[in-house]
Amino acid sequence: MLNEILLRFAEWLDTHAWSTALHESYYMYSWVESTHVLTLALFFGMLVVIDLRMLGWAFTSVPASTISRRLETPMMIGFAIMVVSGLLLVYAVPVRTTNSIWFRMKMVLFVAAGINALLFRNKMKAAVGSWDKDPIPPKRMRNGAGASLALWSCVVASGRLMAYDWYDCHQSMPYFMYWLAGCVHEMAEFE
Amino acid sequence: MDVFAFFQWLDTSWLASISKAYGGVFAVVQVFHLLAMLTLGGMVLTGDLRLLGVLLKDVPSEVVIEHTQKWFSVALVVLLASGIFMSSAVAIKLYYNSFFWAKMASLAFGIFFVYTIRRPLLRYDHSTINPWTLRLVAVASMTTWFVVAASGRWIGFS
Amino acid sequence: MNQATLEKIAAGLSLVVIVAATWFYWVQILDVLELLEMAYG
Repeated sequence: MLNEILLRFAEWLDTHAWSTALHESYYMYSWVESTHVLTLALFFGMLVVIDLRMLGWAFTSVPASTISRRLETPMMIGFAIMVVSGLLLVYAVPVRTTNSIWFRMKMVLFVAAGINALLFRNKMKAAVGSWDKDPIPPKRMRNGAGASLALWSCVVASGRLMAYDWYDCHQSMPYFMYWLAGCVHEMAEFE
Repeated sequence: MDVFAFFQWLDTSWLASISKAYGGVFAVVQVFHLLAMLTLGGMVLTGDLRLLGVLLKDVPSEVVIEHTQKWFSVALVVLLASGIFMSSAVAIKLYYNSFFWAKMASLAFGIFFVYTIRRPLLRYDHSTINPWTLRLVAVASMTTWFVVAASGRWIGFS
Repeated sequence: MNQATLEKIAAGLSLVVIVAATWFYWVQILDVLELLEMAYG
């Protein structure tokens, strides 16, 4: 049911002239994709610095809250550019993206990483006055930072793997895989 | 030195026999290459933007440089190792790719710039260095690594 | 190498890098602008 709705929406996006134009424009598409990847250095780069501090592996002489508060703005600027360029990339290739197992995995991980970030941020705010100046933060903070690094790395990884067509709908796969990827037409052939 | 011979050797080496036969291994190494690139980028940005006075203004720039340099080197080692592995899969193709050579040239310059200019210079007390020199070095460093990463991305497009 | 010499080399080399990269990308940016104009202009 959800698979049908998603696919119908993607097919509707696919009929847009702008979607085709962006997809077929060699330079524009490459620039949008490069922007998406290189802005990651800003978003993910700042995230790495913050998380390494929270793990007690870097910037140990600087208060944890200073690192997280000062780097939050550039990180969120990077995040905003990522979201915009990412939406453009989906808009350019809507059907294949919707039917990509990697993209689906990326969205699930993205939500998980987002929830972790929200929980983590509140705990970080509570740091001032307690463990803020400790070179190695308390265990729950280190766990949160480790989870954050792992989850966002997996988001990046699944994004990168979208380029591979191993599990695209045109491949022959078990029914379960078609269902995961939302290959509605291929699933119909099983019935 | 015959450069092409090196690429021919790499193309038939044991590394190539892994990278060509197992698409999954190649993809995983590629992911680590990307993650290391992002870490390196983050360290370059944090250090250079601090030198420009954009970020972390209330932390001494010596401290920021010291910590970012360490993780920069870690990321660089991962990048080089995974990069050589990835090259072995398409060695001959890369030899004829101009973006690959643009990347190698900027990478060689970047490594030279970091370890013989930027690092030795920043070992001095930053307040004794001409602020304009610091700014120029910061912009040049970010520019160089941007060119390295961007030409790397473009190898795939060309 | 003393600090003054290193500073001079660093500043000079950095300037060369910035000028070279700007020129390199300027050519590319003009290329993209021209393509955009052909496509939508």
